[in-house]
Amino acid sequence: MAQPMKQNVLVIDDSVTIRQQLTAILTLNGYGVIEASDGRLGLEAALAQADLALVLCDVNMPHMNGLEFLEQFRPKERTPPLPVVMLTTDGTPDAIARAKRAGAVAWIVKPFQPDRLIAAIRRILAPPA
Amino acid sequence: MTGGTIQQRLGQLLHGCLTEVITDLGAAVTTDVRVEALDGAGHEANGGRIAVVIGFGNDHIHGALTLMGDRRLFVRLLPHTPTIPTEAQDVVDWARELANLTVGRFKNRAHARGVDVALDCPRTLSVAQADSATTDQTLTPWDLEIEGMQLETRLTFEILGSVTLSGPDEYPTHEPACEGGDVLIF
Repeated sequence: MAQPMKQNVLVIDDSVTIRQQLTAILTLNGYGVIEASDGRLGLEAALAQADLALVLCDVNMPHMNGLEFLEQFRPKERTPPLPVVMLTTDGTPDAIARAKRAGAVAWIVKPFQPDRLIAAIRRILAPPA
Repeated sequence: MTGGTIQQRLGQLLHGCLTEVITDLGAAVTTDVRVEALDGAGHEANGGRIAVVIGFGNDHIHGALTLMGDRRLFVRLLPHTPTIPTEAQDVVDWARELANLTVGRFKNRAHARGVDVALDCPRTLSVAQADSATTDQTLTPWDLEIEGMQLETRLTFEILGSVTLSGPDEYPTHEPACEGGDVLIF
């Protein structure tokens, strides 16, 4: 029987420790991981990768922050739309609203709990009922 | 939170956030206890010192939080990820992320009290730069003892114009910020 295709997640965060942590958690739960260290490199990776299932993106990053990434990448206009989940210390309503307007599908406040992160990803990637 | 200058009240708020972040990482924190100062050889025995800084502010507040401690302390505070050995982790990067987590939490708490700030990206400093970071606007340092190790902190606030920090219950109509661990699926 053919193995199900591994779903690939693009992790965009300027902290190598956070990228390592997320890669370990995602890999343990059966996801493939591609990493980028800021929004600009994340945008390049997102545009270049044809087989991404989801993007996990920090907000506070050098060169291009996560909200700027969202506004340039326009995930909901992609065919098919690519879900982008923001993962950040910022929990303020204005930032969350801006991300929602720009097409993010979820917002997770650091420090995250691994089991809640995976549960959210699974829910977002679940096939429609 | 009543009394004190606006800098002191903001400093208390940020101090509380730092203590919470470290406690959430599973470390025992004691405040206002001075750990015996180490000399250079002592710091080297602990892997040398690491210093990081993160700026934050708005049109009326320019602030910066500096954290400095021995490498051994920041190794203790690394997140526990079973598949990643400690020696494979970037301890200096984690020190920067600690500063980011602390001021990020402060941003959310300050929002609930009517003060909104933006954060810079955290940066690494040399120990000499961190030692010389004291200015007229530096609050009295408050150091933390963490399981026998010292985390030195320097907090600088420059207040330009009028800033009001409301009490926790004085801003009931203000939409609250989310907290660490919160998950919102739109």
